Amino acid sequence: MTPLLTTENLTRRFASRRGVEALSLSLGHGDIVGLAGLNGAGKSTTLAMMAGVLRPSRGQVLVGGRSIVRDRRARRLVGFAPDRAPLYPELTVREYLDFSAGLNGLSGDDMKQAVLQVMERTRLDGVQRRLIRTLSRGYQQRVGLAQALVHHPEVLLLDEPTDGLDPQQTAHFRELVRDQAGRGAVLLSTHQMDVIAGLCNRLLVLHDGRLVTDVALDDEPSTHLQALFAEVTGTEAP
Amino acid sequence: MIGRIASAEIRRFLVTPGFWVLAALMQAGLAWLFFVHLDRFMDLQPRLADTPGAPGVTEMVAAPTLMDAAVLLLLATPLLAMRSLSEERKTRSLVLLQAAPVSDWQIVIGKFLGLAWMLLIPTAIAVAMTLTLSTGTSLDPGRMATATLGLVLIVVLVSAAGIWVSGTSRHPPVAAGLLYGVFLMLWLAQTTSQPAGAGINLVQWLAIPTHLEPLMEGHLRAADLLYFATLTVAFLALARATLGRLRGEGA
Repeated sequence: MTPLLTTENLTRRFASRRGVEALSLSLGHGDIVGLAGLNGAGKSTTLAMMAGVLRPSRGQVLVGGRSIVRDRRARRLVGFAPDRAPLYPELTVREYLDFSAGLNGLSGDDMKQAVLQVMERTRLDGVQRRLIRTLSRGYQQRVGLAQALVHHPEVLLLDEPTDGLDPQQTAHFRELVRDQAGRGAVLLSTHQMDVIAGLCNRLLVLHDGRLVTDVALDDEPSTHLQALFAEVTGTEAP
Repeated sequence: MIGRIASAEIRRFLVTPGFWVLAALMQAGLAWLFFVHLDRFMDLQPRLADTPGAPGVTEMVAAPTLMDAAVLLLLATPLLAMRSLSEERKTRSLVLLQAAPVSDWQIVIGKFLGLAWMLLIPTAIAVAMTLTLSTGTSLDPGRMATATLGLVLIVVLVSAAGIWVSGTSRHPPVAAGLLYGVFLMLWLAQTTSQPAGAGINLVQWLAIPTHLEPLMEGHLRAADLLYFATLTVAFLALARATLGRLRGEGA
């Protein structure tokens, strides 16, 4: 089966630090992939390149066979929720999601349906008329997630998505991700091994910008994953 | 897509108290200057009435008021423009646009149109203010038309410059300061010295007043229109290049 997203020799170098080095991987339908790594390992850089926000120094990202840099249609297939939600605090939730859906090519009834649907999925319908700046951090995270989901992307990229969520919100988030994996692939970066253990069917570990582990998961307990992470990154297991 | 970005930009301005405060201050300042010009005209009017070819109310009140409006636009634009890209870089909301299937040109043009539209609101009020004179006297329609065109061209130019400079820093006050610097240079470049008898040099050609004053005086010249078109396109191209650089380096 054709992978939904492929990276080929993806490399990003910065003047002052190492970014990502020769990362090659692919995501297929149903994948829920956890991307782990120490701070500065290159997780956010990887996601930003996959989303088309940051240009690679070398290599490429293909989504649906199209280059994310050269072909804008590829970006329509990707939903990206960065660690800090890209919000317009002066807009209401509804206005913001309408705008986000419009940016991704939806219009008319399709846009209306998509926005209503995503608000229901992310449980934002009760606050749709509220200004984003008046919402709690957890709700703002949900708005950030909703903008990534509103155009029905095939690939969902999430950077530290559970930060700031309470246990109930985290449980709902897990449901959402599982549901989304039925429609495509999900790649999420996180420090929390329990999130990866309870949700993901594959683990990637980045260390110093390089992919050092790519393993399939089958209900491994988070302690096993923590031990594995410590081993490949040369850190001490908690 | 450009329309969506522009309308979102307009919506964000409209719900921001800062815009309304700035617009109110601009109108208050302009109204005061309008009455200063009007008062001076009323003082001189008895003597002017007996002088053949003396300047009328259009030359002495309307055109100077519109010139003042141009200066006020230059003062207000950095405060509005800094939020366009600079604030989006600071809050990292620019990622929303960068990750969407829109080109950097569409982002630049959308934001440019949004800002220009907002600046056209105080511009329209300034023109309406001068047109109220026509209830008591007759204005020179040709001169009013070129002066209004000059003001619109200023809006277009400063909006383009604003979008470009706004993208150069992730700190909105720094972006505003840089834009004030650009405007100051473009305004004061006219004062550079030149040997007697020589035409204008390149620096003087770059000066806004060199091309705005003829329009305010009722002269419509292709060279002036070309100046505004050239600078506007150049600023938009620079804004596009800045966005491209941000995609290369990370916003």
